[in-house]
Amino acid sequence: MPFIRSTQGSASIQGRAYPPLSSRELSVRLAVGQDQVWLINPRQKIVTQSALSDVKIEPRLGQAERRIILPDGTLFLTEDHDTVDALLGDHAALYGFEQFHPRLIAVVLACIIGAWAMWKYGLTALVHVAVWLTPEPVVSAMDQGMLASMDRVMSAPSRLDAETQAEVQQIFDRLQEHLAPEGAVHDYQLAFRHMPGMGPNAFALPGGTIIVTDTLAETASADALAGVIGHEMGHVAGHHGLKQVYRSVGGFVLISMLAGDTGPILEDTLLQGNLILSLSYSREHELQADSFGARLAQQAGYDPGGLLDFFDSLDLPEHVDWLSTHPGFEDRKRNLRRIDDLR
Amino acid sequence: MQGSSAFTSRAGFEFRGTAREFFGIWIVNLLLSILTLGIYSAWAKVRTKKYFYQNTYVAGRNFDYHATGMQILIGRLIVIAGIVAYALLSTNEIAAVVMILGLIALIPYLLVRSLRFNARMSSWSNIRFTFHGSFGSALKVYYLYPFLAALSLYTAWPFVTRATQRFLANSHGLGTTRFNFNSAIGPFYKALVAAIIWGLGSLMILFAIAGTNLDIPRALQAFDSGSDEVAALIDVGLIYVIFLVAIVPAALIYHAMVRNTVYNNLTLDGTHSFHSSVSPLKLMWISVSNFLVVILTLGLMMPWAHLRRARYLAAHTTLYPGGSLDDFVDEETASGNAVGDAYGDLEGFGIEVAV
Repeated sequence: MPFIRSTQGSASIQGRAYPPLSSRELSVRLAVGQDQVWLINPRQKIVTQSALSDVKIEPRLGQAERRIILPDGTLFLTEDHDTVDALLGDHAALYGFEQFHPRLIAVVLACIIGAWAMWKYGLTALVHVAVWLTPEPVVSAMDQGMLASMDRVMSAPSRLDAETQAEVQQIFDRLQEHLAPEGAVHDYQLAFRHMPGMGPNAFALPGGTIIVTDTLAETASADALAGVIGHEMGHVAGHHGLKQVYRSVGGFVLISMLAGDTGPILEDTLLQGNLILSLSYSREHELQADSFGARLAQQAGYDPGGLLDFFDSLDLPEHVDWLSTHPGFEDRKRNLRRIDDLR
Repeated sequence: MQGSSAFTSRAGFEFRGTAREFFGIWIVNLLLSILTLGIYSAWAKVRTKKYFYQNTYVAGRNFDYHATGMQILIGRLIVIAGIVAYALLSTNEIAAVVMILGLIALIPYLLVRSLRFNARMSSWSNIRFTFHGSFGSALKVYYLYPFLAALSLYTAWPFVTRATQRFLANSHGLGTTRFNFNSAIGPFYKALVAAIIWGLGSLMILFAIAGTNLDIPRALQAFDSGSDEVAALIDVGLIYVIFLVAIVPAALIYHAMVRNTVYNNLTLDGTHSFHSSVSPLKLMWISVSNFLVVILTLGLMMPWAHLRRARYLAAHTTLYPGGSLDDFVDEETASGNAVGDAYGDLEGFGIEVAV
């Protein structure tokens, strides 16, 4: 190897190097010329060289030794960050922000605000995109699967006579005729089930299957039935089921991705918080469905107050609101009265 | 530092990072991850890992982490697609059964892939680590042996731990050089006994203090139904206390003692040996105080807590080189695959040779 005759016109950086695929440590300096670099050992011999533009300089990471990789695979390490930046250009964009500085207080605040905004708006936007992307057959398959597992766990075949079923079906059909076009894209199906312990109740599955319990069909008036079925149609039309699935999965995924940076305790807090805050969306969905149901019932010629009377007849105790999937009945009644006022 | 004569009889692991410095890296990572709806977290993970690896020195030579954010992101996207597909399809009974069976078979495969990826993406002294473990061995270690141990009412559990550690250690290499680990079963039983003594001892003390008031069935029922009955809530709290005071520390003690045993019986090529002198109680103190400090500062001291633990572990780990450290060689760099990586994250396998 030739000796360097002159280092004139070039500056150098002290450090150490490893030849390609070897752990042999060499004490070297990196001489930087106009468009060429040389690795030179203490005896002034050139170990290796390359064009300046082929050298890969890793970005600065705190005080950790800077890693510079030559095209042949030789690794050069140095603590002399300033000279690296001066000779080889600045590769420290993030490093500048990361330095311990009062500015980091602003970063902490931005994290808190950002996390809130992401949860409130970012996740909502993602959920909408995901709902829009979900193919209809998948949603129908969900309905069948959910109905099958309900039948296994908590419901039995309906014991209603054909006459009662036909009456409810008639209400259902009339409501469906009055659905706005954007709500009518779903495949609405009515199903009857005997569900002891569930009381007068109805359920909507994401694909449009609406389950009415025998108790509801037997005890509720036609106006109340129209309100309740309209409420469930509101859930379907608003994609509430799918939105809740995506929101909980999305929240879980986002928090898991941050978990490496938050640590297990903060992760648990965030996961619990996500769960409790998600309930507020569930309650909001219930109120939306109530309003939707009352309006639909009115358009189909039923008394929109039917749902309100139905709630009055239930006479259920109030519960802790922020831990519930449903709003308290007082809130729901207040919400419905507001619509009636519009009339 | 002098290359050709890097031959010392004792080389301690050394962690050179500082909490001040890591705080900036951590908080900027967090902000960018939030602003990009989590996408940047893949790059954040790489930057954090690089920080810890590059600041860990043995005999004046440091580790490095080589995965790119894009590799991690692709791995995560695949895992997310899997979770979404699972959430949507698991409502169908047959699909759910098929998927669970598939997942059971897939886990050891993903595990091996993840270990191989992590090994290939880590290096020390310019030499990448390797992982040679097979799918069949993973099946034995993670399914067959735990099943057999269950038949022994878990009295044979230390054998499972030893088999796992053998699988992990003996499958790893530094370049073309292989790690080697074997140990008698005694130290593993000692670790189990120590963990049980802590667990039972703290339980007895707890029950002596609060025992008569605790009604576990009622608590579990309250936990299930979300009842807000005050007495039941206190019981739920007590279950958490038992978990934090008895079970978590017992697991910590077991892991710390197993770590010592593994390092103390580990060699690289039969020439270079290791020593770990981690004190289970000291490590527990670090974990407990870290936990409290992180809670009281609403997470802001997380970086400090991470660093404190890394520094303690490094300070109690030593390499005894049996020859020159200049002679390791690597094969042509193979590019890894990131699919298993996010899964590896979820499990948090910590038995990497890199502290």
